[in-house]
Amino acid sequence: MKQLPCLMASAQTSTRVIAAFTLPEALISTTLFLLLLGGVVGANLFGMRMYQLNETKLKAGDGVRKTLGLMTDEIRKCKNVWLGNATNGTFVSLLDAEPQTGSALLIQPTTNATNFVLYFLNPSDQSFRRSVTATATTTIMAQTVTNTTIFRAQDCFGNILTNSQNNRVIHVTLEFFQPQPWLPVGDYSKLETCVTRRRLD
Amino acid sequence: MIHKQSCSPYPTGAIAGLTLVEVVIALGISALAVAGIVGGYLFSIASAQKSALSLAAGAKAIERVEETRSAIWSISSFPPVDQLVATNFPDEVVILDQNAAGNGITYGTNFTQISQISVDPPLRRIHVDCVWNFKGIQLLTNSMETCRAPDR
Repeated sequence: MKQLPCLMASAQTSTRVIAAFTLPEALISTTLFLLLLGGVVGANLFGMRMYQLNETKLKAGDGVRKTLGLMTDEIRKCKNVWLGNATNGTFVSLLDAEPQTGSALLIQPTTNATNFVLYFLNPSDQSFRRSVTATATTTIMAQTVTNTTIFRAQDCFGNILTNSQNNRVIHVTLEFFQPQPWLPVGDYSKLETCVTRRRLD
Repeated sequence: MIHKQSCSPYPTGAIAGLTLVEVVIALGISALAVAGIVGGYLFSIASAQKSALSLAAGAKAIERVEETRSAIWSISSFPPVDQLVATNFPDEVVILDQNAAGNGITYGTNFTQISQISVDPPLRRIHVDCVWNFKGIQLLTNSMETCRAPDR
């Protein structure tokens, strides 16, 4: 019986060398690793994108909720409240027979007419601001506000009033738009609330 | 007679590499892990959306309460005026959320109840329920309640 000599096997080849991956094995392993890595990285990128979206919304929402909370408290306990428009920080009240809608709201906490809080929209930079005469300060409460009619006075049935009657609801609407660098569409949000003065005389 | 000798350059350990079954199982485990991560993100998004809708429903209920607050209830005038009755505040469908394109609107319904707590002193209870549907699978309710006396 004659045996053919094994051409590939070699007594001189060490165990370490022959235990290595062949080229197909290495390619398959690398491909699988890349697939796994791609999946993990893709999942993290997806999560980061969602996180950014929600972060923007929550930050904007948080700031504006604080603003609205402060404003609703001030309206509820004020002595008087006026709707109007603000031009260069100067408030112009709406007259009777005009629809009570505007971009500014003047709140008088007491009967002292020189002491008031003014909420207004600055259209040049789309910021919503709060100005206090007692401390002579103006602060930006919200930015990227897109609507120009923020306040409206209505009766209990939802009709817009044309006078400054005592029983009325102040309806506040704030619309925001923030472009998103990661998305083809920007982020739009809208906040609404209604407040009624408690000290009805 | 000539025999071909089966020869391999690999020792026994190297021959026992990954089989197709093992590769498929490994891929399945990897897919499960990735699906778990993505599922976690999706769950957190759904939770955030639910919280946002809940806040919106609460705000809508507060709006209704504020509207009832502005209703004229004057017992000292003549004739007395009383707008604070349930018929003046019928069920109301409100929009809680919609996307920028105007689609995907989530609606809620405000139910208002007004009841007399006491005649002397006059006091009424105002209860508003905002009922809304989350993804068509869960009915949720946000409630607001307050008491009100007549106008001075």
